[in-house]
Amino acid sequence: MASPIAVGVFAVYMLGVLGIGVYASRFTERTPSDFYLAGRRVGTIVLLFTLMATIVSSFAFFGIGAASSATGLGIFSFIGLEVTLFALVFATLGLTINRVGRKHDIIEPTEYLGERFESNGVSGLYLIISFMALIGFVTAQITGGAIALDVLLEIPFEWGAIAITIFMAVYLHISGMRGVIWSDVVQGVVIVATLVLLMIGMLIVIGPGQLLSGVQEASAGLLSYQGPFGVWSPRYVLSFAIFFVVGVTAYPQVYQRLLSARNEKVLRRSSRLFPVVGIPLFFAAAALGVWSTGIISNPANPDYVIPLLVAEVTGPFVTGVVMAGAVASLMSTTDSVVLTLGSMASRGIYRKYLNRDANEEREVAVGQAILLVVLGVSLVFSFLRPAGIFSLAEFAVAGFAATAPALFLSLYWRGSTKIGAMASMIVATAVMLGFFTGTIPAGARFGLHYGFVGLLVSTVVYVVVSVLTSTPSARTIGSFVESSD
Amino acid sequence: MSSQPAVRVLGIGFTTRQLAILLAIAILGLHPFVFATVSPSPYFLALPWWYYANVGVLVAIYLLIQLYVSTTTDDAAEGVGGDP
Repeated sequence: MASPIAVGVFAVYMLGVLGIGVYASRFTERTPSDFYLAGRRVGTIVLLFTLMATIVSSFAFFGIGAASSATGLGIFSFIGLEVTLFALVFATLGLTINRVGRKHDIIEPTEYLGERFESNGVSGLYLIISFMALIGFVTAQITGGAIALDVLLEIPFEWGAIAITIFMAVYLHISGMRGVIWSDVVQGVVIVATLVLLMIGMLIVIGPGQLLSGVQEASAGLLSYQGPFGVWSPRYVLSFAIFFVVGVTAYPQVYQRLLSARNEKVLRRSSRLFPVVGIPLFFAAAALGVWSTGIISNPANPDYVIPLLVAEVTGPFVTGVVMAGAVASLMSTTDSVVLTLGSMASRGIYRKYLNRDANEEREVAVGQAILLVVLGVSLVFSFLRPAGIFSLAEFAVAGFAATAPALFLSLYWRGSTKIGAMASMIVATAVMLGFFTGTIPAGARFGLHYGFVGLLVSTVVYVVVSVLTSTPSARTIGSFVESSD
Repeated sequence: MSSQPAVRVLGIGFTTRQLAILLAIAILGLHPFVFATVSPSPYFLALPWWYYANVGVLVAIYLLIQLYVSTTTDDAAEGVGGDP
């Protein structure tokens, strides 16, 4: 029987989150720029935590602990490197994206691709890849949240999934991006504080000696760099971190956040702070996952070792807060994805092909309807219970790494062409799907992550095909590439 | 930041920014090969020594990146914050 205190705290927390959405709705206008980009007025701290929540928060809580409990502490080397490299990518590439977005009033990446390449084919292809990769991702998030409610609060899986979906639909409908990013701040603070304090608390209450002997009894290999199965080889760590940084930046929801920064100084400061928050977060998450092996044997679902650890070593009040924060963070990540898909479909399909004369309010209304459809489809898929959060997130990032050359090189290289963009996306997606499904043997990766191989293939195809084909008009190239100088 | 070469190697001049990013890339590329060959012991607070050393490496890369991206613009002119 779940503790009534934990259930009560959980309910109060979720009501608080809903309250943030209702409050945010007072400031939200029904225009695309405001509904999807919070009016391009997001400040440093809010941008920092919404980037953190969008990229890593639920992943940190549910995915990293599970992965480190199975493959060892070496995961920190990959993920720590990734958050450090974001400081470089956001402060360079992010600034260019923000500048070009402002100049051309770009709301989402398909719009940029369509205008930059003067091609509906390029933007349509990106849209298809986005829906393929992100509906699976949303499904996994709903599933994850429902299992969390099932395991820790004993709410039946199906009811948990339905409740989470309805909550997200209501929240998104009311608040738009402003509500999502404000709640991201709350979730981000709760997640970081929880993991760091839990780590310190375990050292004080259980003691380093007992924690270490527990891990060594379970599997001493977890404490070595490469882990018990040699997963974290140097080549794998480096290739994983590099493709992940590029692929995540090509996520449409991350791209939109880069567009939402109030100005370049804000973006630069957020990028500077990102590793300052991210490194301690993942230092704690990976350590807790490994320590959990000496405390929790055979968890009901590997993605929940850290929540189970919280329940094991703290009281019902803390469990309630942590679980609510974790589930809310997971929903927040999903909200971001669904909101972005809604914006891309409403602008990329509805306004472009179905109703060119639609006013801004109508466009937002269509986006809201589309996000309800996306949530509904994902809810149905969630009943099939797909794979773990870590591997699904990994696959989604790989999908977007295939789009990275078209999205990013075109900001700097005048020779970029639409045929090059389309060829790179198609070939790289096929290669990554081949590796993911096992159609292409793992030996062809030479010890590198398949996402990195896909990124290399995508880049080579993009450059070679672009050199051989004709570029868009000089006016378009000048407009986009010069503005990023 | 000065665009004058801070140091010359084999006749090629490197600015401070260039040196910073080259050093960051070198540390980034080499450190996993070092950590992958070491023993996890000794331990400190139930974690192997290399785990803490890894944080040191990340901090070094982070500082070099900051040196690379830093500019002379008036970053401090605007306050930290955003929407309420």
